[in-house]
Amino acid sequence: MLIWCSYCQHFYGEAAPYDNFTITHGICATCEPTVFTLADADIAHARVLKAIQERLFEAGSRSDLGAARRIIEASRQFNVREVDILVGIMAPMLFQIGEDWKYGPVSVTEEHRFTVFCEKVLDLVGARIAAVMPADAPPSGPGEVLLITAPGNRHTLGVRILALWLIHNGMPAWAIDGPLDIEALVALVGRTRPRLLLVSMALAEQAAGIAAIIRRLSALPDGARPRILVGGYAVKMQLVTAIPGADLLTDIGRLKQIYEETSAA
Amino acid sequence: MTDLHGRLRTATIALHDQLEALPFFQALRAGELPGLAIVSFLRCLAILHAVLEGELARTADPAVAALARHARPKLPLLAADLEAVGAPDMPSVMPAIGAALDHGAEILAGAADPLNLVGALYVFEGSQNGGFALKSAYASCLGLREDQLTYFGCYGAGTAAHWHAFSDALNVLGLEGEPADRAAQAAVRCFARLGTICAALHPYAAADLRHHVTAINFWAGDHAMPQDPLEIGLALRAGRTAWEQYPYLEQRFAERGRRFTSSDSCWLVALARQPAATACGNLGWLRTVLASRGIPTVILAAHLRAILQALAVEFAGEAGMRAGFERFLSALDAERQALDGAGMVARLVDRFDRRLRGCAGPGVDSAAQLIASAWIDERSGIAGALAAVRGWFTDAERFPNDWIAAVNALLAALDRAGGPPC
Repeated sequence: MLIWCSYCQHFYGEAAPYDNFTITHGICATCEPTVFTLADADIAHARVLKAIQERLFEAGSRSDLGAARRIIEASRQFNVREVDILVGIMAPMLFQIGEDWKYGPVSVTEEHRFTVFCEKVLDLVGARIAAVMPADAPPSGPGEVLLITAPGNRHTLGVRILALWLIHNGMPAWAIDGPLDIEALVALVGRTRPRLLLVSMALAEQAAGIAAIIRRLSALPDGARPRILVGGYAVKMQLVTAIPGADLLTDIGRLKQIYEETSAA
Repeated sequence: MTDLHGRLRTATIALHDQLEALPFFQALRAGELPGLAIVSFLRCLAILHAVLEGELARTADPAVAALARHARPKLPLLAADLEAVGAPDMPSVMPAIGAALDHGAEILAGAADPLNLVGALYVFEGSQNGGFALKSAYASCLGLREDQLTYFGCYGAGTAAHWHAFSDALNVLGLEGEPADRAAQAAVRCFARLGTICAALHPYAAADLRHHVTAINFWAGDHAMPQDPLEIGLALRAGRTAWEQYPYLEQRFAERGRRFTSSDSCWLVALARQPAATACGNLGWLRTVLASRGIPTVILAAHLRAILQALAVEFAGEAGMRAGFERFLSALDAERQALDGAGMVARLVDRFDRRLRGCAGPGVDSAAQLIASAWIDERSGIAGALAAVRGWFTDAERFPNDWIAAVNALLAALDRAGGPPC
């Protein structure tokens, strides 16, 4: 389930079951000291988020980018940030369309079209996000969290969205938008020294490619080896249960904690 | 009438010249193009035609649908040519296959605008002109007679007449201005992608060669495939066993179903190399995908048993390959036991199997077993599994009334035996 902070109304994480994208409310760590109970307004906000989710999904099924633009603009009046729409609404929609394909009602064509729609929405929102990026977040260039897709996983949209969310949450991040061969990755890691390497895998069979990355990176000297996290559809659906040398990440809300742990270390 | 044909030709002529200058075509004309490059080219074309022809068949635009009817379906020709070459054992040139899959995905994603399909169709129909001229060169490089190849130059002596008719049909669309530009852009994209594919095909490096699932099934997309020819052979045989055990698959899903059975079988054998827990989890995922599309779990279970049997003989020393499948099948048995400990479902299947066999007209073997399996899938939490078979088995255009009555009676009896759904 997706957790939105009922006080600041920003997306802040997930809770089990991780394959259920209904919206629930909680209180994020930042707001917790000042807020103790949920109010009726929280329930109203949940309804607003659900409505945004449904209307965007409908716009996506029609590939109606104009409608998406209007929905996103309208959502600002409810204090819903663009970056939260991407992570708390768009990313789950991508997951949902995959699930709809799995259960049959959506064709491969519709799934592809929806992905293209989400890419266009990301481009649309990305420019606006850049304009409101926190001053201390680097707008481009290497970050402390490097995000890539597993060898064989062509879906880069998720890592691009997640990188924006991380930057917004004070974690300089950088997503590689496309395939990267293993030697190029090793060179990149050696040059940029990220603290975390986050790999998105869609299918269990991509585990072999990730294992090769882990083996290769383990040869790097101490201090140059990033902690490796693996997330994505295959992890969320428990199609893989372990990858030696990496931590599996079902809840992106845990990233902040892991980031701080590696910082302290 | 407008001159859409002229516009498309102008937009692509430079790319056409570049394409023909590639080493692929130079080697072809010189009779030196490796057969493996041509086989991979045919596979790439099959991937692209599978997408394009599927989307053209579904287009809601009547003018584009009418244009598409001018084009002969090429997928059966490509399938026949790959069969003639005896290609299943040959690896594919992976960068070319990757480029074809990418362009297939582009066509899929852009299919909402039928003009994207028009642009691609123009390129492929136009390529038949060159294909006619080069057919003997292709045959020679493959060591075949010309008449053994059907795709290249498929309109034969009528190629020029067909091209004129197709060009006229393009002009009848009446496209000008921005819509014509969109069609031209799609044609340019298609030409550029074909250039990428041909550039990757020759010369290729040994490291570019791998077995890819599209060699088995051009609709399969991109998923894991064993690289050991022994495992591929085992997978194809096990798939054929499951296919033959359930004629329902052929009756309902025809050639497309046969190809997916084979490609799924390859994926299953590749899965056997994964840890047992991973294999088991992924089998659960595939079960949902199949059951939601009218393929009840009893078929998957039979397929897995066929693989297990072959693994036990051909990879006897690798018990680990069987562990995930055995765990999954045990879980299915436990699930069935929990739902039907008294064996009522099995008795109903026997009873209704006899009744269905007695119905008039051609029926479907194992129908009662399949329906009961879908019922169990639904009860086990796969929403839509039962609907995915019920509609087909009770279609009045396919089955007589007594058959449909028997199917409905079986479903009612299963519901009574199983009590209300959870």
